[in-house]
Amino acid sequence: MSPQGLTLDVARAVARERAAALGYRLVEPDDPRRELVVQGVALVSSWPVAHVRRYLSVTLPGDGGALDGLALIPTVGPVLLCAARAWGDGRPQVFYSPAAWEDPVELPTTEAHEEVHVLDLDGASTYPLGVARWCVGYLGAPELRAASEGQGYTQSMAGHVVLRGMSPEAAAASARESLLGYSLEEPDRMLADAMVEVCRRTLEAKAPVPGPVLEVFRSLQRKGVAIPGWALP
Amino acid sequence: MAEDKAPQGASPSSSVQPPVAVQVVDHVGEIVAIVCLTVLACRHVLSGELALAGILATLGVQSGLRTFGRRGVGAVGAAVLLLLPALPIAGRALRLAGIALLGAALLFSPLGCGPTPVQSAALLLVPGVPPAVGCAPAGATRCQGATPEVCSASGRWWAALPGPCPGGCALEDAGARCLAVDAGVSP
Repeated sequence: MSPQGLTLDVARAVARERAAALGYRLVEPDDPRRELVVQGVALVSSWPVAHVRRYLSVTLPGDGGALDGLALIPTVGPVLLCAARAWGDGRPQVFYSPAAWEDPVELPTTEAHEEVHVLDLDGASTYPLGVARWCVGYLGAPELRAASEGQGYTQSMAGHVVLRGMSPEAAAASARESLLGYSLEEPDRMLADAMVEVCRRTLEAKAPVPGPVLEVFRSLQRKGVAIPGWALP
Repeated sequence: MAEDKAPQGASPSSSVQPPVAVQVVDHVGEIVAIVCLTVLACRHVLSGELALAGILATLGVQSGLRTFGRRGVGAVGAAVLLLLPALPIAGRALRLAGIALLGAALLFSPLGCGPTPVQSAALLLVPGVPPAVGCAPAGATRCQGATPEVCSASGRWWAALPGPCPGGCALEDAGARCLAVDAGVSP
């Protein structure tokens, strides 16, 4: 079940609009670079490659302008900068999975989740070497990974409940299952699970879940999609 | 370091090497020792600090003392030896594998380790991470203004949701949650 007016065209249009508004690059699943990302994620996660390839959307940081200095290196600098820019233009990149890109409900849900990470990176980029430090923290400190993904999955839950009609309990169970793939030890998984619980109670109370998902809902609504009143304050 | 007057021929990379068989035993022994220390740390038999010290000592002492032992090792030299393996000997594939294993074990939890000093340090590096205030127990929730927060194992209050609740936050027996904007809608 999906809300009236929510078609794949509308979902993709909203995804592109949101990417432009927040300044991240939307990378569609047929981009050849996605396979590199898939292999990299499969290497450091507990998901099988086939699962990552089909279902995992990933946000990668841009260099935040840190590579601009390459241009100052005589002769080879511009070449190196050009090579780096061939991969990305310095902005965060969201690589959408085929499963998300082909599903009008999953796409805005995934979008809201990934925008949590985009906002994390944007916030970090205001500090010296902030993006690099954030990435080291995400990979090296499970607590940060738990916090970031926990918040991300609250957005997924809101999307599933509001757009797909899933029950808050089922959405929470789905989020907890997904969180198992992030290699979190018990104390850190508890942090992410507690966030999921806060979100579940919020959705049970039919209260709006704050975060990017609200903006995604508003964008869908402006395109004529019927969003339940309680989901949008 | 700038005062080092050692002749060029005495540099570690060009010193007389032990027989290949000894080197192989050296490296295999180091890797086995690193794996053992890592496993012990993962199982919380050893603290992360002790494991790290043990691994650095393993890397530094075996080959390091053999290389420099004849010239004497002072206190500063001993300290340098602990860090040395990452520098001149890093070209050796086995040593690199050992260091990579160490780094991965210390940094990444997929290998099954709990929080380590390196992980804690990584968290301190990140801008925007809430300060450790010693909250407990992990998983507890509270309302900080309109934002529900969750207590982590390191004693930090993290925002449970990416933003304040539009209708405010309520702390109930089950924990914190957002309130409905229109109280009439809330069950």
